[in-house]
Amino acid sequence: MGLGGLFEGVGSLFDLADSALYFYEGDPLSGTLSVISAIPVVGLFVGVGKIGAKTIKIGGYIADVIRTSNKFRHTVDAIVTATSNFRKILHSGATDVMSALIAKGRDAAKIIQKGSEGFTELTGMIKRQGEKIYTSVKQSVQRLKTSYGKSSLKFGDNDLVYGPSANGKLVELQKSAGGKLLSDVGNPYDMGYGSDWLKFSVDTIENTVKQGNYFHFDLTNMQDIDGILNGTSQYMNRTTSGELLYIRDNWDRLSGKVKFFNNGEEVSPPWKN
Amino acid sequence: MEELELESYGRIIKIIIHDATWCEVHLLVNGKDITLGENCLDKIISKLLISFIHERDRSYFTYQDMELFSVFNLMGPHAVVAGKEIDDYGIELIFLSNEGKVIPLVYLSKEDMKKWITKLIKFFTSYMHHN
Repeated sequence: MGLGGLFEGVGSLFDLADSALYFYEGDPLSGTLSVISAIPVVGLFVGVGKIGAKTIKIGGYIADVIRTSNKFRHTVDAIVTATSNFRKILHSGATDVMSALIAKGRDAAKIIQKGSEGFTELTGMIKRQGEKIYTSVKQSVQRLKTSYGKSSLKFGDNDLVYGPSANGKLVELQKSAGGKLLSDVGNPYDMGYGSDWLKFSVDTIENTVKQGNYFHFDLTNMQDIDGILNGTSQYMNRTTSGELLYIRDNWDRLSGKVKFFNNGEEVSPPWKN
Repeated sequence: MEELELESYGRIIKIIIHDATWCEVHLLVNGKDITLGENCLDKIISKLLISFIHERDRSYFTYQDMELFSVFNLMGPHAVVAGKEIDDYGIELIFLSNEGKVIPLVYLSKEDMKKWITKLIKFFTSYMHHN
C-alpha cells in the first residue's frame, strides 16, 4: 500500500488507507507519515521515507535474524562448551575415580602388606612356640631316657622293692620299674605280727622268693652300710638295716633271688665289696 | 610344698605334701607337732577315703585286745594308722608305732567323717587337676 501512495492522484487514497491501518495496528509514527504522504510533492518524500523506514525495519529483521543466529551460535557454543565441560567432568571424574581406585589400591596393598607382615609375625611366633615346645618335649624325652636308663630294669608285678623310703625316691623307682613295696603288701598288725615289722618284712621276703618272684634292694639312699654290716651303726634299729642283715645271713639260700641296686645300676651285695 | 589339715576336737592330722608323690603325716596336739611318718600322697588320701567310705572293705584285726581296722601304712619309722569303731559315735584313729606304742590320734563323729571326706575329695580333686 505504501508503493500505491507513490502514484499521482490515487496515491493519496492509498496513503490515507495506509495511515488508518498504521493507527489501527498501534504505529502512530507510520500513521502520521502516511497522512503527510497524502499531501502532494511532500507526500512523495514521505513515501520514499516510508520505504526507507521499511528498509530499516527489514534491516532490523535481518539484524534480529543475525542476533538470533548469533544466539543460536552461542547456544551451540554453550552446548559445545557444556559438552566439553561435561567431557572434562567425566574425564575429571574418571580421573578422580581412578585416583580413588589407585589410592584404595595402595591402601589395599598396604593392608595386604601389613597382613603379610602379620602373617609372617604369626608364623614366626608359631615357629618360636613350636621350637619351645619341641625343646621342652625333647628335654622331657631326654629326661625320660635318662630316667629310664637309670632304671631300665624291669621288675615283675609281684617282685618286692625294698630300701630306705628317702622322701619318695624308693617309690619313684618302684613306679618306674614295677613291683611292690612292703606297705603295699599290708601291715604287721592286721597280719598277726603285732608291731614286729622286721618279722613281717622277712616273712614277706621269704614268701616272695618261695613264689618264684624276685626281691630288689635299693642301696642308693642307704646310710652307713659298713656300720650296719659290722653292727656299729646308729641306724641298727631301723627295719631296713635288719632286712639287709637278714639277707646277708641267708645269702646262700637267697642269692639267686635277691638283687642290689645303686643309682639304677645293679651292683654286688655290699658285704662282697 | 602344700599342707592339708584335718581337724577334730582340737587335734589336727596335718599332711605335708613335698611333691607329686610324697607326703609327711603329722599330728598337732597341745601345740606339739609330732611326725607320724611318710608315704605316697595318693596312698594316704585314697586309703583314708576308702576306710571312711567303704566300711565293708575294711581290714579288721585284733591288737592288744582292740578290734581295729587298717587305715594306712607309714614308711620312715614304719607305723600304721588304724581305726577303731565306737558304737553310735564314729571312729577313733589310732597310731601304732613299730615300737609297740599305741597313741590315740583323733575322734571322729559321723559328722566329722563327712567333713573330712568332703575336704579330702575337694583337695584330691584340686591337686590331681593341678598336677
